[in-house]
Amino acid sequence: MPFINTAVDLSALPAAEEVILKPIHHSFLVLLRIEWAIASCFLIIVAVLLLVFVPFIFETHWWWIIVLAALAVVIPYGLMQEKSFPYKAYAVREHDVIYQKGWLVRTLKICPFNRIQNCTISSGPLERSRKLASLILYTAGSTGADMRIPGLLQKEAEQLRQFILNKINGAIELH
Amino acid sequence: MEQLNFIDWERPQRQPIKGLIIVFVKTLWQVLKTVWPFVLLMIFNAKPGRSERYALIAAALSIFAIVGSIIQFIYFRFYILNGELIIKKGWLKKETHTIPLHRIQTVNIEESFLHSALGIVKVGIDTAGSGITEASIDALTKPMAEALKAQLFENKEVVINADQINTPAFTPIIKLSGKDLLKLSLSANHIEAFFILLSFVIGMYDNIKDINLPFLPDEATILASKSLPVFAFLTVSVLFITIIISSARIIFKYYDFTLAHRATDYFIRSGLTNVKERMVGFEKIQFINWKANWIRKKLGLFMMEYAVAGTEEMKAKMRVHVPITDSENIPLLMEHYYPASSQMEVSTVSIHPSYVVRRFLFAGLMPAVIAMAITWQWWGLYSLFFLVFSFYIGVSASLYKKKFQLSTSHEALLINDSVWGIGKLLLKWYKIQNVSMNQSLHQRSKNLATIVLDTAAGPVKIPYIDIAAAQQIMNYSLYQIEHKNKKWM
Repeated sequence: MPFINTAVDLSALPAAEEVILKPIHHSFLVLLRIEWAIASCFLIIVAVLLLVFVPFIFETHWWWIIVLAALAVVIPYGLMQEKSFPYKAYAVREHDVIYQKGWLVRTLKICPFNRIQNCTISSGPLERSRKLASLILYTAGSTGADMRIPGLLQKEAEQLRQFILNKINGAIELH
Repeated sequence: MEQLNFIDWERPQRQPIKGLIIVFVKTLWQVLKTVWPFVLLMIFNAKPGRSERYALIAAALSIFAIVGSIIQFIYFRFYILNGELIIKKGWLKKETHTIPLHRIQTVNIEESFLHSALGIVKVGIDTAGSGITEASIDALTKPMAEALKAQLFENKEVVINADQINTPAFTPIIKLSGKDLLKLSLSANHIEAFFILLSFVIGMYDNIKDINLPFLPDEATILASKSLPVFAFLTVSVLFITIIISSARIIFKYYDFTLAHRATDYFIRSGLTNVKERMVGFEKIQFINWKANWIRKKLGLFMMEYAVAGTEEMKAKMRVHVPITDSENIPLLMEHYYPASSQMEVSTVSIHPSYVVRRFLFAGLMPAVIAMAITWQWWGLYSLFFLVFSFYIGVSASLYKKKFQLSTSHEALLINDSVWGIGKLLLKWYKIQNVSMNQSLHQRSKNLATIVLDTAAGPVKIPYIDIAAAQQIMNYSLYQIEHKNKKWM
């Protein structure tokens, strides 16, 4: 179903969807599991505190709603983390960065270098313990952090950042 | 100031010690914003005479904020190296922000009450990105802030157009007459105002009914008097008040509306009591859309919007709506963005029927059923009115699908996104910032996808189209952005 009929040969354009993507580092899955465990513990503590400090909940038998709500968050959250991990992958092309994510809703996002405003490397204590970092790219788009590639090795993230910055500067020189 | 010229910006700089107070206040505020529900819960759940508990909470929060702010203060550094502003912060969560100097659009020096009391300023750095991308230095002495600003713009090319120097007079395009204003106000979307008024009245009634005001009828009286004439009278009254209110809103907003242009920008002036004047540079316009509801379509009235680049807060303030009372003005208003005479080719891309079904089920029926379940206890059969809402969503989605049309050229794409009246969106390819292709499980099973073309003024979505068409739009957008390397602003 062609959507345009111009002099540009659409079939000859580089196809972003056909690029072989590089999966993010496998250590990131361990990190996701730890994050899930911490978040679950936190939620369980909140639920227990509510049950202990708000007597109304026990009196009205609302306690089982609290328990169900906690389970309804913890189980799907863990499942989503596990299932979506294999789909997190990225690729760097000559003119852009591609990042894929999502299990239920699959998203393929592409940020051209000549639209990137700045880039940031972020690494929390858990990421640092595994020598991992996240690379965050910002364009002037309206959706906040436009691309966040987690689970990169720190050295790899730094190399990517430098490569992208060189590309940004190169794009400016072309004007 | 003389000494400040010798600041070695390549060496990591810290904020002045007074900045610790600013950082403390900011941290305390963040801590309070996070924990206030728990604090309230503990305070209200505590037994009388336990004032030490509150003191303990206050002390714990203060200590947390003090330690947090000291850590933040110590680990905050900024410097300029190889044409980049680098900001490093964080102890547990380390962050390095890198902003190429040529990407910096504006450097704002701001002063809150606390800043001026301490004799310092805040420096905000805007890179034309979204609100989150902006970097800021919470505290600097004013001379240092000025020196930093000068340093950030040291090598920035300043382009001054000859027309701006001579400031030629603006040529008017649109000036609303009294008659135009009346037509515009009467044809406004009164339904929106009706629901705002209705929810306000219901909210007010709920708040004051417990006070037992003698003039306020109780629910039994209202229910007893629900004969047809009373109901009709009430409905007509609310509708009448609604039309008056929403018409007045339009008159106050668009009174004496004037739009003029010159070589590089538009000048817009309007308002009755609060007169607003705005200048919009042509290059700041990211996309244009023009709409008309069913009544306005019949009257030949349109509302055009110039979607302008900026941060989220800026966008709300900068949104430029232009009322058009003569459709012949549309080409004139498009001229500086994309000439209306340019040829566009209508594509065969269409929205899949499952879009209508999914919208009806998930955006219409599901919320309606939840709302019915919640309100059934109080409203009884009246809760069924939520079903009307779900049918409205379903019919809207069906009309959107039916009227959807995508036209393209080498320069731009035009989307017909009307529902009840007319709606068109014009976007130049090179204004796109990034592209996404989304597929839910259902879409994957049907070989469909939703394309999101994100711009600096907001995203443009093309939902539920064939996967092959989606991939072509994605790849063609990237080709246009990367191949031409045109300045988008």
